[in-house]
Amino acid sequence: MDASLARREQITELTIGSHRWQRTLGKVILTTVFIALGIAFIIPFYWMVISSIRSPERIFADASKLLPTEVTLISYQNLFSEQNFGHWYLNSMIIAFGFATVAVTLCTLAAYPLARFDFPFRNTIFFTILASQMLPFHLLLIPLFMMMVNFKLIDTYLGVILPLAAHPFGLFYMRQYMLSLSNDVLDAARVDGASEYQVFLQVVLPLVRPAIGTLFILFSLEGWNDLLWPLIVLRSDEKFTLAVGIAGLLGIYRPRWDLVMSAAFLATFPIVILFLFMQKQFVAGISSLGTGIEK
Amino acid sequence: MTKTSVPFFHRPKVVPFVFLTPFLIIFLVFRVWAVIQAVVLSFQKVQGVGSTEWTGVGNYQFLFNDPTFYKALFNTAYYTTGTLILLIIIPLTLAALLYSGLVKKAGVFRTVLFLPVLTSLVVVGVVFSLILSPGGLLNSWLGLVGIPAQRWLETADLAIPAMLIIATWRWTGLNMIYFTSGLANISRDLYDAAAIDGASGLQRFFYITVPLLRPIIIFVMTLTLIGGFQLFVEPFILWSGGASPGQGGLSIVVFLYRTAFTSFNLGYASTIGVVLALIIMVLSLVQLRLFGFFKKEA
Repeated sequence: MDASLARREQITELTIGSHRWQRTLGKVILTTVFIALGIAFIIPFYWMVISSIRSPERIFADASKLLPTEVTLISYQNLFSEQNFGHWYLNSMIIAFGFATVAVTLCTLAAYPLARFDFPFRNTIFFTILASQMLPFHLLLIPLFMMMVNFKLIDTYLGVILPLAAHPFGLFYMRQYMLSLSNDVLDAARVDGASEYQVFLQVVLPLVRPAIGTLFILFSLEGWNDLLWPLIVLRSDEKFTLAVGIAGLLGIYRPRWDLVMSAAFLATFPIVILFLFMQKQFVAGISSLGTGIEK
Repeated sequence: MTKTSVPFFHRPKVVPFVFLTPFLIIFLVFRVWAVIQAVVLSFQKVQGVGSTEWTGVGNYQFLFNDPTFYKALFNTAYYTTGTLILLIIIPLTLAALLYSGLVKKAGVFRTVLFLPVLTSLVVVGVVFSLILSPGGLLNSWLGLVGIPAQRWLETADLAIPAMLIIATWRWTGLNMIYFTSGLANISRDLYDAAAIDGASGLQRFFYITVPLLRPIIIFVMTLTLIGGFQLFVEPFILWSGGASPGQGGLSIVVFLYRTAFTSFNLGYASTIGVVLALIIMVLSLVQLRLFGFFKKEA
């Protein structure tokens, strides 16, 4: 408490900027605070890794020890030999990319007329879709489950992908991006005799490629991480996604913490690596959602 | 060129709907129709798919007399209120500090604080099951500053605080991005002018940053509110299947899920869903109104 108060006063003084040494001291203190914070935020990731290489019986016993007493990869071996882990991994990839592909396609197609054409009910359609974002998905859970049973989509990839593919946020984001395109380019193509479909495919699509990339990343992440809907649709073990599979390892009478930790690590690691490579797109997508509402 | 000579799919009145149709079909079937079905189901007794019986407002009467519902409502409201405080104040403060230029390598810290956002809530749940366990890391760190060990996940009253700790870790980085993007839109000149007039850093924060970020703050609060009321995966994982001690971690959605897929009472579960949707809509509108979001447009 005192420390944070002192820190605040420090900043207050500093930003008036009277003495250079005070500013430097403030920077050092603040940076130290952020380093501590950063470590605290990294710890759960570290714990995932360290618990996965502890021997299974030491996971809870050593739950406060920073270093393992002995290192073993037995959890990883067991994960692949005892469980359908390879299947789960593949299923998560199929569902993440499948969902992203379908959702991005629907959103990009639908956003174009909503952003660039004038037609009856345009605003009604757009705001109805946008307002539906406020409805909790859980309201739809039971009817969707019954539809999946009736459509025979239980335990299928399509059953996981399709119901969530008309994504209001995706549409909003795409429309926002398309609103910023210049009319001149589109009109130039029209004057050259291009049909509206050619304009879309040859002019609009290349221009909105960054937005497509961003949405694709965000939707893949959503598909990769989702639990509730796949948990309801998927029934057989070899159709499970990682999230459903890991939840299942906890649900049985004796939770397999060793397998859970190694599975958690393998499910998270590639995402973190991908993020570090594509950070700009991730962040651009999220920030534009925030600033979008101001316009 | 006369109008009739234009092929059907190229007519100006048709073109927009060609683009819209795929989205609209999925939207109408899986959202609009599902919402209508949910409302219809909420007035029915449904035991499994196919056998339904009309019960009028019976489910609603039962719900409003169901102590489990009130427990779930209280827990969810408690959690949401907690996140509305923690997940606004902490990210806003951190975003402003990192944006101030006083911290070296601000970008690295933004990245590190964002990493939890990438994790699946299932993974979050399992890792924190370890960290919050009686002999876990949190207790051993609290021990260092003299706070006695807590049974975070075995005590009913600690269930929500435990989930608030998790929420702070999981969402701070995301809200920071929203606030940072807002900060980037505030003109530097305002700060310079205020500094020349002798405004302190704190004054500048409260008189320039906060008012100008108002639309973003309202936006983040609305997202947090909607998200908070949809709490599900964390309690579902922390207490396998959501069976928390003394129902301390029972959220509305866990209650809904268990009603539907453990008791197979699909009608009653739909009633819970409808009431949850109404609560979220009313609270979002009240919140937006309270913070004068509609005044701006008028």
